[in-house]
Amino acid sequence: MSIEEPQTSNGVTKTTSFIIGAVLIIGIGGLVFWQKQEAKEELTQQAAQNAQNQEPTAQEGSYTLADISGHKDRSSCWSTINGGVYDLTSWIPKHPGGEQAILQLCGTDGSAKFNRQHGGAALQAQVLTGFKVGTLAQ
Amino acid sequence: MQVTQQEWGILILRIGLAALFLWFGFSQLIDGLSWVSWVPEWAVNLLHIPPAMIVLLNGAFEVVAGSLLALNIWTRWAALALGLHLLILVIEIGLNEIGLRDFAIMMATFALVFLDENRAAVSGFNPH
Repeated sequence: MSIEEPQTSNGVTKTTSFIIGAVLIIGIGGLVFWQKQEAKEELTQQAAQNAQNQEPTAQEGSYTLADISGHKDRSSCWSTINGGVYDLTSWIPKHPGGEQAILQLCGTDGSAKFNRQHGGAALQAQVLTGFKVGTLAQ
Repeated sequence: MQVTQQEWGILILRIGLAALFLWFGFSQLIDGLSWVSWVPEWAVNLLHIPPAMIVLLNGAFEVVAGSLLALNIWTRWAALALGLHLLILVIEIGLNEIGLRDFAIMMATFALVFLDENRAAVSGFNPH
């Protein structure tokens, strides 16, 4: 490595730049694709696991929006989605779309955001059922 | 081939930024739905296209511009476009940890715009 003044004809040639760039593009593309496949597989496993645990838990109950608003951060994150009440705390670090997508639902009615993001998607709906703790009181 | 310290520095900056934009761009193209919640209302109202389509277009833009950075083709133009793109994101996100991180990335991206292409191994506004 030299500290001498660079010359107009650059040391990093166009060919070298192109090779480095092409490897980077293919590498990053492949990495992202692989990561998404892994995340999808995990989601499928979670959905299958949730399907096996369909039985309502003893704690399942009826909650008001006021009850839900008390669980508004990552230490305890509840949200009501389409009439169900869900404890999403454990899902925050696992969500394929990032933590922020779940954190913004904590303590609120997340129906609109969930439906906009995953409306009609059976896999995501299946994953959600695994976190159900009750229903929203009318 | 003699690579100077300055060229190493610029190469690392350019490749690092290219990797970042490529990762986010590919991520939006491959799994667009995970990014829909980040699309602001004003963008939907302005462009009159569904949020999912905005994510795809944004992803395509980041992949193309990131590739130009990676390949050192029209680097300064690509950096200018990406810097302005990040400026909009920083304003939209606001002053929090994500906004501040994006601000730093934006500044690094703008730094590429102002490099002397004859001395820093970047292709620029006058490609030859």
